[in-house]
Amino acid sequence: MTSGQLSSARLEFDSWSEVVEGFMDRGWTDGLPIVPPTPELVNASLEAGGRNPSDILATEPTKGRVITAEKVAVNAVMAGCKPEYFKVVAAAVEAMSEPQFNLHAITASTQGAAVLAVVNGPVAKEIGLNSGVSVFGPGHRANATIGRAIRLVIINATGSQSGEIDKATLGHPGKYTWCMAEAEDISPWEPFQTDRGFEKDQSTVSLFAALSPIQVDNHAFQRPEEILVSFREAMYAGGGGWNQGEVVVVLCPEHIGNLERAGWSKKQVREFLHDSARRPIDEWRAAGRYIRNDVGQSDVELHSVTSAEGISVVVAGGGAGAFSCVIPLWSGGTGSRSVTRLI
Amino acid sequence: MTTATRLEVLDPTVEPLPADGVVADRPTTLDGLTLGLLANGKLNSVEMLTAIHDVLADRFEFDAVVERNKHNASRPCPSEIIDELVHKCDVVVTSSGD
Repeated sequence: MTSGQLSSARLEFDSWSEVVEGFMDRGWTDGLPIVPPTPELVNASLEAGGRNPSDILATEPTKGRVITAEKVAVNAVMAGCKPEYFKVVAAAVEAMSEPQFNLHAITASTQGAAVLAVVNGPVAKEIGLNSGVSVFGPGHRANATIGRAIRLVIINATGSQSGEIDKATLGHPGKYTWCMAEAEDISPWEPFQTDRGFEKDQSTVSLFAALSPIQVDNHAFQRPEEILVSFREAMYAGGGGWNQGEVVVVLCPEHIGNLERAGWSKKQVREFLHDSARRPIDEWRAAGRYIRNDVGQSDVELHSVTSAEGISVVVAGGGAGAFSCVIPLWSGGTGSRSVTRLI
Repeated sequence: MTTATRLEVLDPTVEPLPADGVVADRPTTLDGLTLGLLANGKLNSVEMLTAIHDVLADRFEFDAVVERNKHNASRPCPSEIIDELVHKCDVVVTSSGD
């Protein structure tokens, strides 16, 4: 294999450790050591992903930075991705540049969003993505490195370095890496990508500008209505709280089991959450939410999420424990809308 | 252990396109000029602009004041507002409230 087509500037170092330190010094990492992006490794990723180095995957909307497959592959190698992961990273970068995702805002904002990547379809098993135990935790290379590659692309290819373009007040740990697969095998419902108009045998990546997850702990009840009220409370707590355009709900196997036994559909879950998560303006204000006087009288009820369709339901997690979560999105899921793209 | 072989790696960064804009000439006075005020839509952005206007109006005699609000802090200003401000105004002050 040759590396003649690669056009990135080349740097030379005496050792692996000097590469790591040199990249750290230049601000080219997330604070963790990287894998040196040699031309051979970068070419292996491009080849596995079926991309040419000069293929344009995205154009950063504010500064006009043109992000090629080569640059994405360089960052994927740095993140520790195997070559077979590259097609997922490439599709994620393409999705990131969709105008509705509002990339510049979500990577610059003080609200400190991460990019959550949810992978569906056969590719998840092909490359070993975890959808089960400790789905957001460490120990799973595909999850860890694909999510990290997305962040490194944001840092290096869009210039969103911490303290420079990235002005997050706190941020959250998901900004290091956040990639999951849906547990399609244990779900009683059609997988998430079919909610976005794709077939279940198609592989997709869905991106969300995600704030920190809010864990939903409900071990006490079995009836759907008694379980889902706990999700309602989490929806109140997250993000903007009221009038959210989108929110993500990750349902764990124990909760899914109870919903399945009761014969509930995904649509029912979304409609229940939409309908029940509403309260009068006075209560929103009592919880510290700013609501303009012209929105309505104090007893007017406002929904936490403006539509049932705005609630994305994904199944994942380990078999033991009734711990699910609600993930609020940047700008209340209105300023950035999620994107699903074919892999 | 070191070897004589140097390790060659690739630069992961992407440079922004060179900006083709230039800084406008600075006016020597604001007297007789049209002032634009562009709020970004965040809480208090209008109030801040109003306060800035009041300070400036004590010192200068504006020909006119054009107030606009782009109503969405996370998106670029709509081009029609930019075009209008460019067409009508000599100087523009923007604000980012919070």
